[in-house]
Amino acid sequence: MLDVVAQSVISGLINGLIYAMVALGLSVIYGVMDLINFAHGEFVMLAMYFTFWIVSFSGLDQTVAFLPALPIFFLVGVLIYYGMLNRTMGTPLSQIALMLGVAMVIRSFVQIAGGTAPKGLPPSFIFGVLNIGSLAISYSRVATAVVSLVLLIIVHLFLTKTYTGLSMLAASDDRTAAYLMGINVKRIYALAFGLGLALVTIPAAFLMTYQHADPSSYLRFGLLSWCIVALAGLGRISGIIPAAIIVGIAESLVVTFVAPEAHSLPIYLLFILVIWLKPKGLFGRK
Amino acid sequence: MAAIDFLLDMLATVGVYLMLTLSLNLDSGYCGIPNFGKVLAMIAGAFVVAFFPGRILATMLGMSGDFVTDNASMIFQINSFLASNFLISTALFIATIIVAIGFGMIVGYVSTRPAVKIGSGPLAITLLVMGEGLRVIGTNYAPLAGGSIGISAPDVFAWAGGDRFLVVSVVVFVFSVAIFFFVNRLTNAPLGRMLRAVRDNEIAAESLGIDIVGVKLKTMMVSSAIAAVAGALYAFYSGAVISTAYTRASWTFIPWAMMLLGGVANNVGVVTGVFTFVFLRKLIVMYKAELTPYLPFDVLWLELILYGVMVILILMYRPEGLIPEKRTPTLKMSTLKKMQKT
Repeated sequence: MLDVVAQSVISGLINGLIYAMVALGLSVIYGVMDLINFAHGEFVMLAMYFTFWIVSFSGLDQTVAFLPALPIFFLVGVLIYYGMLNRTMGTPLSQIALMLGVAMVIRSFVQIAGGTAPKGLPPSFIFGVLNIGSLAISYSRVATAVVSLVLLIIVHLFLTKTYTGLSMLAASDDRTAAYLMGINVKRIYALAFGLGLALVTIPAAFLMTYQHADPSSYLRFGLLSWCIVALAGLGRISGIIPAAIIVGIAESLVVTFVAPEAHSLPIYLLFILVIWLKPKGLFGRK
Repeated sequence: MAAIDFLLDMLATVGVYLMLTLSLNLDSGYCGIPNFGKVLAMIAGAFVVAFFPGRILATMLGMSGDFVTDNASMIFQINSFLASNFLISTALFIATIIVAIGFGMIVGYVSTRPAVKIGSGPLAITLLVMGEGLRVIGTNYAPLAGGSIGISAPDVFAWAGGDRFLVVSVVVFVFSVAIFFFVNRLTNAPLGRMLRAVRDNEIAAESLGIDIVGVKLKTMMVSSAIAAVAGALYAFYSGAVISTAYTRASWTFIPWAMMLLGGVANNVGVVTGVFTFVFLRKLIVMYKAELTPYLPFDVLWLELILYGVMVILILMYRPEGLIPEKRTPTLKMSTLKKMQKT
């Protein structure tokens, strides 16, 4: 019994670390622009399909397939900001509806271009299984978790140590004050949105080392990311890791002990409870 | 005959979407609540139809067996009983609608309460998550609505025999017209101005003594009750409840697209939007066969892309929609003076 619990917790821990990376892009966009990216799950799914196409056409390994996708997503983000979001700044309802429109376009595009069948890739150069006692975890998941930690640290350092990152934080704290200090807020927002989308490509590429991409994966990753971001305290990068680990372990325990189909319910329940009882998040700024 | 069936089908579709979009206009258009979980109240109404009337009749008729696993045979017996009992059918229909209204109100309150005090973003996600959660529960917990296979609902219009389709379509449409007048009356009263005040500037509205949290909760209760009625009527219309069919795309995104197309916070605009949208959709479905040879994929997917692009273009270039929002008509000065004299 204790063995099963331990297995479940360790598996959830690894999953949580991976989820942290998936939620990172959403957190950057929400934290800097105060904008709910309703198309986040769709962008994760799109990036997974991108990885699939890049790998199947060029024969690159999944683990480096994000390199061509990253600048494309960054550019798309900047274009979406200047083309669409800039026009509706200050009207949150229209922005959400706009991102919902983008989400619908991506969903249909993926179905048209990728078909309805799940798409999987042959194993990457990381393969094999790590055995800890009776527990078996594939190396690709461990590698993804490590990459996630590294990426989170890099983004955290970017936001707190570089001039552009600090400008982003300043713009998120007080838009007008940042503007008066000579920060080009529009440019910063465009950069933040581009960065938020670009950050989606790395988890997508690593997810493809051990998962399939299918046209309904947007649902899972979208709601999962929102839940993590809310738990972390909306817009806090530093709270993402503990929040994601809580989510991962809760999901894993429910899958092991209740029912595999109900894996999303503990996430929803956690989200609603946190929003209700601690709206600033478990690890939010006081 | 086919043409009449086609028109009738459109009548019921327009009716259901009209109710949903009007209720969406009440909470999102007038009050500014980011209701991206419209499907939640709709599912609630449909689940009421799936759960209550069939079980009540089964107990009444003294049937044995499990309502979910023996659904087909039990519904067959129930329907043959209902076909000859107009009064019981109608009473059951009305009772179910009333339960759906009550359930819709509860769902509206419960889904809004957690995040009502925080910004629009968290509230939007909370509502969406609630809708998604209820659908997941419905899909995986069979006793509620038959799980992923779905469940048949008793046919309370079986007494109409061959004209069943006609009767149910007309009933759905009549309900939607009644709801139009109800919402229109509500929003053209001082209440409508209060809702707009809350939407446009919460701080200003609060300084004038408006209880913002209370207003938002009550608005969501009323609008969710309307959406639950729409869900219940749709379930009665289609005769079955299948949880997996209640997707965000069809029951949250399309009402939003209709509202944005017609005109936010304008009930006549919403009606225009719904009719235009349903008409466009039927056109796409009609010309689907002609397009199919040229496209290597199902036209239905192109349809959703078109809706998405349409929403983006409307929000960028004509955010007020086809018919822009108008000021609420107040009483004329002369009428006020007359009232003062009497």
